[in-house]
Order: sequence, then structure tokens, then C-alpha cells
Amino acid sequence: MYWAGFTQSLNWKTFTDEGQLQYTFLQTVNMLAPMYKLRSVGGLLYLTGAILMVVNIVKTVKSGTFIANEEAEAPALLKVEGHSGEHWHRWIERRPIQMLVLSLVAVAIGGVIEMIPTFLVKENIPTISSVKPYTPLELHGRDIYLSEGCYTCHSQMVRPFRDEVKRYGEYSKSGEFVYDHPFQWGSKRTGPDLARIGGKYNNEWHFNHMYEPSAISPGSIMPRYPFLLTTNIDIMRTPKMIKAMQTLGVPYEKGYHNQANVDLEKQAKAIAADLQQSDLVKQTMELEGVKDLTYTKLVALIAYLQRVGTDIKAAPAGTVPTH
Amino acid sequence: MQMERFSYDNKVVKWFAYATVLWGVVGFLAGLLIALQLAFPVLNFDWAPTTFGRMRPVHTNAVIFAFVGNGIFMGVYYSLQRLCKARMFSDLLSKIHFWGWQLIIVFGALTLWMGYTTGKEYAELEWPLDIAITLIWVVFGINMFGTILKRREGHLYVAIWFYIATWVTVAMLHIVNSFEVPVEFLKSYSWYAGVQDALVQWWYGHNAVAFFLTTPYLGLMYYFLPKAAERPVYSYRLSIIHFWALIFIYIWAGPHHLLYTALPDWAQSLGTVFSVMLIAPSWGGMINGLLTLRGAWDKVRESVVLKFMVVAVTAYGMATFEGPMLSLKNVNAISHFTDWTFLCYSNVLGRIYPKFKLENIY
Repeated sequence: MYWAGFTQSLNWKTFTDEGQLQYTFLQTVNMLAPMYKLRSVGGLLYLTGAILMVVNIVKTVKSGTFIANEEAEAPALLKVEGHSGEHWHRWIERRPIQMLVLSLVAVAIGGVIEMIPTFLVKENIPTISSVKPYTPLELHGRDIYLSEGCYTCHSQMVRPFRDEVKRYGEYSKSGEFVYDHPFQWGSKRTGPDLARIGGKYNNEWHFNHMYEPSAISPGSIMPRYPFLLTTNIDIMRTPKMIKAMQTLGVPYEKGYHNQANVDLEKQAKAIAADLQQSDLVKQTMELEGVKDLTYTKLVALIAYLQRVGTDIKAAPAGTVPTH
Repeated sequence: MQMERFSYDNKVVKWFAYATVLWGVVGFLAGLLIALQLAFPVLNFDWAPTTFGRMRPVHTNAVIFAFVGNGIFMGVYYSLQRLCKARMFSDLLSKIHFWGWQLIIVFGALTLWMGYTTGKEYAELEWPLDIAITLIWVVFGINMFGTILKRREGHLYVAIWFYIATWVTVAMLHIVNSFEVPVEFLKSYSWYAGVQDALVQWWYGHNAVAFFLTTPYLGLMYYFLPKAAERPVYSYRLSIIHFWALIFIYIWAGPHHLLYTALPDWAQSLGTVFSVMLIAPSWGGMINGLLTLRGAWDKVRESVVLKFMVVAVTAYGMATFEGPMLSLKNVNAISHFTDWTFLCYSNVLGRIYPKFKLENIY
């Protein structure tokens, strides 16, 4: 896996003589296939070791007798006084409560120093006026993104490197994430970064890709998500979601939770109508026995994906801070 | 001087040991499945609960909180009684602690499979379970401090310092990172947003490794290694430095998970600097462990237990070298993880053996 890490990172960063990226993301993934297989073998060995351990323990337990209450004796604790010439640290070793408090102080300092300025000093997260809260449908889509664990394979953070800007687009700014409860930067790119996925492909592409990734990207190792097409979002939850976001300071208008599902339906119908222009989409719907796309989880997820990272494009030139 | 008669509770230790082994096998099975899924995507089975995105949190939570967690409790309940020369404070609390923790694990796995998640790595469990974890952790704390307060040994041994720091720090990390606004039962949104959420999350995530996977096992090392080698710890002074420096410095290193991201630069730099500094206390601890074996290396040849321990301590040294190196270069998170699991694995394994041996010798 070390090797896989270096391989992938170097492949990501390889440019041709003409200054273009040498490999598509998918190519870099496919080059890792043998290493992924090798890792599975490693995992199997690991599991075998654990099973051997179980066998060994079972045998040990059978051959011995268990003593539930082990007898012991010791003198009662008299008041322990320090004596002169002892190491200064002995003092605290007699005082568990002080030990507890001092440990807490020791571990709290680092966190406090890093967090308080990040929370309080405005320059740390410059606001971007074109960044707006998610629509109700996009919020639902984001919940699906969380619930399916998309973040375990996809990051949402373009770092300011030449290859990443070339591959994904403008690097990420701190002000873009102010309404992200929770953040979804991720920690691993088994799949490509999604920070600039909004608007990159049309709705139909996303539909077909979620239904059968390898049909759109041959060799893709992403799972299929047919069940997103056959399950619906719970719109009874929408007002509660909006209220929770308001509690967190997301600036929806007062009373918007009553209006939210109207907007949701409008946006969902538009995406559904756009999708149904495609024959392939219609075929898939027939195959899965889906009559109406409007409230499907898939439409909500597409709404979210089409929104991610697009707000910054609407910003007037020169108003986006550099970090 | 008058002697008092009492007895050690081995039953709770045995339960935790069985739970450790059981969840270990379950966790590794889940790990093997997701490893295979990357090579053969058809193994996602087109079914939501078995897709990689849901199985991976099941695997990480099972290995970290079920396998390693039960391993910690097993080791602490065993060694704390002996180091304090006292039975656990309350058998009832021990029981509540054990069953409460197992219930959390079972419900945790079920909710993750059903897609209920906060979406924050290593803190995926939703708010009702977060509250349950807090309560059980408090039960553990009362039981531990109750035992310490009724001890028959004047001075707290270095292992207990590590247990205390573990308890208080995990409580702090868990509570601060789990601030969330409930939407409904099993659905909530993180209190923090964007950059701040990222900082809090990796402050938690990094230090969950530090104070859940590392410090309790260092405590166990300080108990079991000298015991198995029948040698005193190499250096008392080094133990003091190891302990205070480690817990102080570890906390700062969280931002190294966010290098080159939109996190403010000053915070990234702080994370990197402290990550590099962390080599010193980590290696100090490793050396303290290995040098305890001075003059007793012949025992390693005979003893399986010591073999496991030597590998574990050495792997700890390698991992704590690799960590700072990665924090400089930010290459790839997955390699980091495999090594850590290995470390915990061998560590725990090294502990299970002595326990069973001891139990059966008596």
C-alpha cells in the first residue's frame, strides 16, 4: 500500500511534454488493481492469524481452570507522606485527582490554541458573497451523500497544486464551506475529487453513472447504486432539516421551513423532466419499475452533486479571496 | 502491619477478552470484504448495506472501538486491580460497563448498515449513541477512580498515569467533536461548519488514534512488559518525560491531516511542527520499553508473549516515525492506516497471551 500510494500520487502529477495531464483519474486507479489484490491477500493472512489465535485461546481455556475471584492480600493503605530527597514527581503520584486535572490541562492547551483563533478571527475564513445555503432538495441529496459514505472514497478539496487545478478546477477556498454541516473534505481519493463536480457533466450522465458506473467509465471500481432509483427521500423531514440548519446559523429566511417542500418539488420536477428526455433513462426506469423520478433519492443526489463547488463561479471577478 | 484479604475480579477481564477476540474477527472480516471490493467491485452486491461506503465505517468502528476498545478495558481491568492492590470499585458498574459497551457496538453496526451516520470519519455514530458512549465512559471512569481511591498502594504506577490521561482526553475529544443539532431520532447535523468542522474533526480523529489506540496501550506496555520480562522499567525519569511530553504534544498534531487544504496556513504549520516533535517522546517510550529487556533478551527466545511485545513496541516505533514523515509530505492516508492497525493488532495480541497464561497458571 505504500507502493500504491507513491504510484498513484506520482501518476496524478505526471504531465506530458505538451503540458497536459498524462493519465485520466481512472487510468491511475486501474494501475493499482494488482496492489489492491495483493492487499486482499494480506488481509486474508491477517484474518487467518486471528482465527489461529481463537483456536489457540479456546485450547488454552480448555486446558486450564478459570479462577473468577483471585485471592490476594495486602496491608491497608496508611497515609503516605513524602520524604525528603524523593523525586519531585512522586508528589503527584500520590494524588490521582490532581493527576487528572493536570492531564486535562496538558491536553487542552493544544486544542484551545488551534481552535479559538480559527473560530473567532474572521480573517481565517474570508466570506465569499456568492456562496449561498443549499436548497432543500440539495440538502436531501447531501444527506444521501453522507449516508452512503461517499466521503470514504471521494474528497471535496482541490489543493493548490498544478495537477489538481488542471484536473479538477479552481482550488478550494475556506469561504466555500461555511454552510457545510458537516464538512465533507474526505481523506482518501479512491475515486476522483468532487469539489468541482457541479456542472461538469449533465444530469443524464450522473443518472447512468450512478446506476452502472462501469458502463460510463469502463474499468471503474465504484459500486452500483440501483437502490437510489427505487427508494424515495422523506419529505416530511424537510422542515426539520431547515430548522436545524437555522439553529446552526445558516441564513434561510424566517419561516422558510413552510416553503421548503414547494421549492423542493419544483427543483426535483425540473431535474426529473430533464432526465426523462433520454431514452436510456426511460429504459432503465422501465427495467426497475419506476414510474415517477421526482422524489427518488437519485434525483436529490444529482441536485446536490450539480451544486457542489459552483457558487464561486458566480462571484464577480476580483472578489474571491486567495485562500 | 495488618494484612487485609481481598480478591481480584477476573470474570470481567475474561468477558472483555472474549469480546475483544470476537469483534476482532468480525472487524477483520469486514476489512477483508472492503479490501476485496476495491479489486472486485461486484462484491458490493448492489445492496446498500454491503456497499463500500457503508462497510468501511463498519470496519473502522469495529476494529477501533469494538476490538481495540474491549482490549483496553480487558487490560485496564486486569492491571489496575493489581497495581492498586484492590478489587474493582463495583462489580455492578463493571457489568454495566461491559454490556453497555457491547450494546453500543451492536447498535452502532446496525445503524451504520442502515445508513445512519454523521458523516465524520471515526465519529460516524449518531447522537443517541454518542450520548450512550458518554454515559458508559462515565461509568468506566467512576469504576476506575473508585478503585484508585480505595487502593492499598501509595504511589500510582506509570501505567495508571496513562489510563487517567486516556480517560479524561477521550472524554474531552468525544464530547467536543460530537456537538450536533438533532434533526430527528438518528439524524443530526454537526455543530461546526466547513473549515472549523474539519479542524475539530481531525483534532478528534488524530487524537482518537493518540488517546484511544496509543496511550492506553502504552500504559499496558508499562505494566505487562516489565512483568513478562521480570525486570523493572528501564528508566523512571524517562517514563515521566515520556508521559507528559507525549500527552502535551500529541494534541497539537491534528492539522497534519489537512495539509494544503483550505485550513489557515498557520494552523497547518503548527500541526506539522508538533508532529515532528512527537518523534522524541514516542521513541523515548519505545526505547524505555526495549531497554527494559536489557539483560533479559534470552527470555525473548523462550517466550511467545515477549516476542509479540517486542514486535509491537518496534512497530510502534516505526509507525511513530512514519507519522511525522507523512505529515511533512502528505502522501497517502491509507498506508498510514494499515500500519496502525497492525500495531494495535500485535499490541493487543501481545496482551491477550499473557492474560490467559496467567489465568491458567493460577
